[in-house]
Amino acid sequence: MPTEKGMSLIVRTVARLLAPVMLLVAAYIVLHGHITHGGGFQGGVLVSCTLLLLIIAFGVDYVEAKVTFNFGQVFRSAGATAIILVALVGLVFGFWFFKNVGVYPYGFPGEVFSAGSLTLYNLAEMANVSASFLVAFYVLIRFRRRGK
Amino acid sequence: MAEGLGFTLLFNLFLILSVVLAVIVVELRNLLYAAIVAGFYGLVIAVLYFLLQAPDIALTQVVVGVGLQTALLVIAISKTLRVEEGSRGLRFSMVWLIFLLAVILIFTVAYDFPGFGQPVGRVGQYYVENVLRDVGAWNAVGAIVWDYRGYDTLGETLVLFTAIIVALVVFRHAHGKGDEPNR
Repeated sequence: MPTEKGMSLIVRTVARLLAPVMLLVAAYIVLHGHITHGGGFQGGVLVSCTLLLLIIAFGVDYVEAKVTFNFGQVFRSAGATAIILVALVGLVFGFWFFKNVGVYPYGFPGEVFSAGSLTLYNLAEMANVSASFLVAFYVLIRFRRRGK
Repeated sequence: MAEGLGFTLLFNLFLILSVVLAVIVVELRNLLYAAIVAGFYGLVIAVLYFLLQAPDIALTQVVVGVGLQTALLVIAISKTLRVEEGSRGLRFSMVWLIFLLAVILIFTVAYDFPGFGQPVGRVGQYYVENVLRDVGAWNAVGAIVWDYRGYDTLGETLVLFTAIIVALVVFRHAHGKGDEPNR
């Protein structure tokens, strides 16, 4: 499996240049999820694809030393829990589950701080999705057939 | 709605290109090449979504259909067989049978479709007109996903969470530190 050792210097250099740009696009997609197209899921998948690019270029051991398996598990569980908690705030203030404007501020439409809890939901979904696919990649790449 | 001859020509060109790429994906014997051509197919589908003015779906299709699907298929191919085995004649006839069946079914169903851009359900019109007053988000799709239809999205997140748990359970021996084979 080539992903255990990594690839040549050319691939590593291109990956090193490309990864910050991909993360920047992912951050834009997530943080502007309530203004422009996209949202937490798209940004999260892009983050996990960035980490997959690094896995292919540098090898799975290198990336897993920086972003560990257990960190991914904690991160995705925290994201899923945050969605529930943000939705539960409406119940605490006497409204219903998933109550948005009325509990959370309305803000100024078109700016980053607007649309109430949508930003929080997008961030939590990004954490959940990115860490979920990263953990799946780790397990799938580590998997070996018996007798091989 | 973008009308005009140029739009129609471009749209139909991409439709034909998607069919051609799909046939290439089915016919290629080398599965690695097939996975890469499937990525191009996903890109063409994303362009079609974009031409139909659904950029949210186009973005999802690009990220999932080109990035994630290709990555998962390449990982799966590297663990199993690189070149497909089996008889070719049966597969070729099956492809044309399915193609014929799909054409008949699509024309049968499309006969009863409402006009293009005239949906039967009127709830979408409510969302578009009132999203700025209710939620204050410019992205109406994001507001529908997390506000109007929050429970649906919660269910989707639950599906993803459960699917990853099942994947971890199935491959739970894969993450050992040692070099012992998986049992």
